[in-house]
Amino acid sequence: MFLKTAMKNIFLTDDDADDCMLFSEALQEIFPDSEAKLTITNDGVKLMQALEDSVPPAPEVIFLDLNMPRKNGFECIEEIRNSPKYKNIPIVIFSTSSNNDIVDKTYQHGANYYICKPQSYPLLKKTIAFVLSFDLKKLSQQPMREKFVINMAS
Amino acid sequence: MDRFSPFQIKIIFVLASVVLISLSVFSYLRINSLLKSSASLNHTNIVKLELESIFSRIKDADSEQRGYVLTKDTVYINQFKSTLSDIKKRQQRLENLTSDNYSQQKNLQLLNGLIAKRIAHMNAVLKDVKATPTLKISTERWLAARAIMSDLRKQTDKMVNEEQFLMKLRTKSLVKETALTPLFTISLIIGSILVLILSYYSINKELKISYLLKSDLEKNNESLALMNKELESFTYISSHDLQEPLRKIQTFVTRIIDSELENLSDSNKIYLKKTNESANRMQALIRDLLAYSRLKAEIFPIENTNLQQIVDEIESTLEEEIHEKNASVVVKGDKELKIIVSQFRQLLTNLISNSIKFSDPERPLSIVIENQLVKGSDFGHKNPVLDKNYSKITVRDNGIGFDSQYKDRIFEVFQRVHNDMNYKGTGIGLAIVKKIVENHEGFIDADGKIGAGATFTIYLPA
Repeated sequence: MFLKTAMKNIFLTDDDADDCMLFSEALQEIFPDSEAKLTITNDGVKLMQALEDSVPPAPEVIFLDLNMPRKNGFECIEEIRNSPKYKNIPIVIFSTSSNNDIVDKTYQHGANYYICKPQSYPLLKKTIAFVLSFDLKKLSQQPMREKFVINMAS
Repeated sequence: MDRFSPFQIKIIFVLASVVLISLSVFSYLRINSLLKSSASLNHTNIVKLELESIFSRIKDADSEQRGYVLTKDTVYINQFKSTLSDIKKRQQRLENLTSDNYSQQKNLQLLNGLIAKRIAHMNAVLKDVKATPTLKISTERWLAARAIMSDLRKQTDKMVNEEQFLMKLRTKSLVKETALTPLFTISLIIGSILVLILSYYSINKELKISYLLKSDLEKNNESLALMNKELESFTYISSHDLQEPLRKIQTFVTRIIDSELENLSDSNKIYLKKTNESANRMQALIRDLLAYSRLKAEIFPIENTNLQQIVDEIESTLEEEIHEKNASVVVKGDKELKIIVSQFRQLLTNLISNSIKFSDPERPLSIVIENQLVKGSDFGHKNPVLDKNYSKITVRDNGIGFDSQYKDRIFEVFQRVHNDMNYKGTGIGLAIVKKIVENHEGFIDADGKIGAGATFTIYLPA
């Protein structure tokens, strides 16, 4: 019982298998003793299905890619924010794009943080570790727009 | 199809106006003289009428005088007097009517003399009859009166004939003028129609040509805009999509470097490092290319901005590099600028980065940025608008410089003028600078001297 509450329940939705693998490996290295449980889905439809199947308990955070088949990231944010059951789950965008318009759009849709997929593995690890170091309160509040994008390189 | 030049069109219109105006003046004169002729015709008729009625009034007076001589009734005397005064009035009127005709005046004098003579004769007869009512007027006296009357008749006929002769002359010229007037009117109408047709033809031709040119231009513009859009989206999509696999390469390579490096042979370590360097370089290229493709003028507004403020912002962004090269950045001259702020910041950042990149390791780097207001006519550059003001911004450094024969080539994408491996750029930075200058509708010039430094001069509309 104690173990279960201490375990971080993390969702990742990304249609890119390589990115999923890298994310999973990075997470494994951050939490080598399996303190984190990662649920991976490959598109928005599957994410919603996974939420339906597993909530409660709600995941601690959802890492969400934007460009996906069937149901994209924007639709997922909208659906989650409009659902009384899921609306408080923190969403961290995990996307290749650093286009300002897209960042703005996700901010307006109600995403909590934005990560532009890093160019190196150490940086990826650092970024994921940084986000997961936030306490639940910080993670579930939307920050100011300037702090919305997490950029570990600078 | 030959075209009228604007000058020819002007000439045509001037000629047409002259023809129309002169035709109008001619027909005005024609109508005027026509009116005059008919007035003089009328005049002749009035004179004739007046002469005839004077003669018949004298006859009236004659018969009234005879009536009195026969009946001794004073009614005749009264009538005789009123007839005389009427004759006097008519004589006066006739004098006025013929005042412009010397020979008729002469004739009138003769006529007046005869009339006076006749009236004097009648008065003498009346006087004698009044004095002695039984008096019988002798045949000689009646014959004398008859002779005067016949003279009067002759004189009147003479004057009537002269008036008639005048009238004939006038009528003749009137007929001539009346015959000419329709000719003028018709030529006026024909002239107007000709001018109208000519104008219609030439204007229509011009309109058709300009319409063709316009639609041609529109079509060209459209296809150009489409091509531009395609090119932009191609650059954007290709560079965006290229990023994805590149990021994977970089991540996997760094994954190996991060955790597996000790398991590799020394040469493999070097190969892996080189792979990583190449990937990083490609990333820089794609990033710059993406930035280049995103530069569009119409989205961003032109704002009044302080140059010093922008330089300060750039200095804080490039703090590390500036510190490393022991560089100083000085801003001189006018601080006010009208620019697309985000783009101009990028422009200046690229130029300062460029200076830092190509600094001379032998001496501390000095960058001087100067801004002054100049007139378009003051600089002999491509095609400035002569009476427009420009902000002339120069960025000068004391770096390694470049051979000024390459000064146009350095603004082209992927063109680099240094082959020294120590100075590696993506070859896009200055292309971005040039595109930003073009977005401002400005001009850029570069000048350099190997070993002494480079100067970039930018002219932006102020």
